[in-house]
Amino acid sequence: MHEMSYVARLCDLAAKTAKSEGMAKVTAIHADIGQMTGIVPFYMQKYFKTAAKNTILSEAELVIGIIPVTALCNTCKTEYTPDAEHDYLCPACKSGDCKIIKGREFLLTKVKGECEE
Amino acid sequence: MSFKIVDLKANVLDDNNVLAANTRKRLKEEKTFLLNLMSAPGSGKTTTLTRLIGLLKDEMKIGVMEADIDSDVDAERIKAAGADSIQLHTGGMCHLDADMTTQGLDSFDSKNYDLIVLENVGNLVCPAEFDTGSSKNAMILSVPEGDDKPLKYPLMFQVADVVIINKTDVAPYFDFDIEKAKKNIEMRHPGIEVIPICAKSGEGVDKLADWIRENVREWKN
Ligand SMILES: Nc1nc2c(ncn2[C@@H]2O[C@H](COP(=O)(O)OP(=O)(O)OP(=O)(O)O)[C@@H](O)[C@H]2O)c(=O)[nH]1
Ligand SMILES: [Mg+2]
Ligand SMILES: [Zn+2]
Repeated sequence: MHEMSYVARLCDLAAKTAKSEGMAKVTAIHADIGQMTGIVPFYMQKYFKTAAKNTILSEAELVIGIIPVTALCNTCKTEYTPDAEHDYLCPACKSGDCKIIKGREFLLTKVKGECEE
Repeated sequence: MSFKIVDLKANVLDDNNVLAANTRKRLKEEKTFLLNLMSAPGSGKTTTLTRLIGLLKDEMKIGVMEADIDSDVDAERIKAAGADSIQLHTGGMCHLDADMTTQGLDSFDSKNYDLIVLENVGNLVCPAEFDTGSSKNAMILSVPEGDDKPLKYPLMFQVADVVIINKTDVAPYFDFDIEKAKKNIEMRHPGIEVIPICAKSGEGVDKLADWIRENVREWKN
């Protein structure tokens, strides 16, 4: 279950951010997750509840956005989303020599919260 | 009471990446080459290592860090082959990160070694995501997994610096076409070195030993 270690890292970073912004309580955090990370949002949500318990994030909602995989073909420079139908190859020139330009991200994009003052 | 919204674009794995880069720098200074060995469960990581240790132990000091989930069977096999080994505590995690790797290096006194191999957790997805701080990454694709695996797990093949095809002895039984596998790997990672071996008999392991010798030498320069 690799979601556990991702969630722990996400919560650490969000809590650090919230504290440095003077928040007393976090109401929501947003994360963008690349499809290629193999992270399953269902497990993210599940472990988030555990990881957030007794922290500044305990009442926060986790909002997950998915970033699809985008590959850039090194041969013909086409941008495409690899899929099984094309054997994960470039649909334009059938080459597999590509650079993954999107889909490996794991980003914290938003922290919403309440400040004391 | 006031509300606040902070927009950011913070890479959650940054901490890991920074620690990994530091560890790599330290290993370079210590002249210790760290090889991160990854594969699906049961592809033959430990068997390959015991063969390699047999070939290399008289010319370099070798240590192995084992990431078995809940046994020390592999660590014992490594010791029997003639290298030092330690067991890393992964706590059921499906991959090793830079933190666990660095802790392992510390408990090992890494500077006394020429080569340290990290036997990562058997898994083809997560280990590829986490930089461990290794000098180079090797992955094993074993014949029963199929020659089309590189197409299904592109990232693993992209982060690898060398691909070992193991269990070549059973290729005929699995309809595994080594040339096709090489082509699929080349598609994912043009120019990468592919070394077919049979860890069971030892066939081809000498080529892998050469690859390691060369890389250890380069790392020390
Ligand atoms: N036929 C054949 N079997 C092999 C070969 N190499 C390893 N095996 C067998 O494959 C099984 C798994 O080998 P290990 O070396 O333990 O594999 P591993 O990748 O270390 O396994 P985990 O650490 O459990 O992920 C054992 O039964 C080995 O004897 C080979 O070249 N040919
Ligand atoms: Mg093993
Ligand atoms: Zn193309």
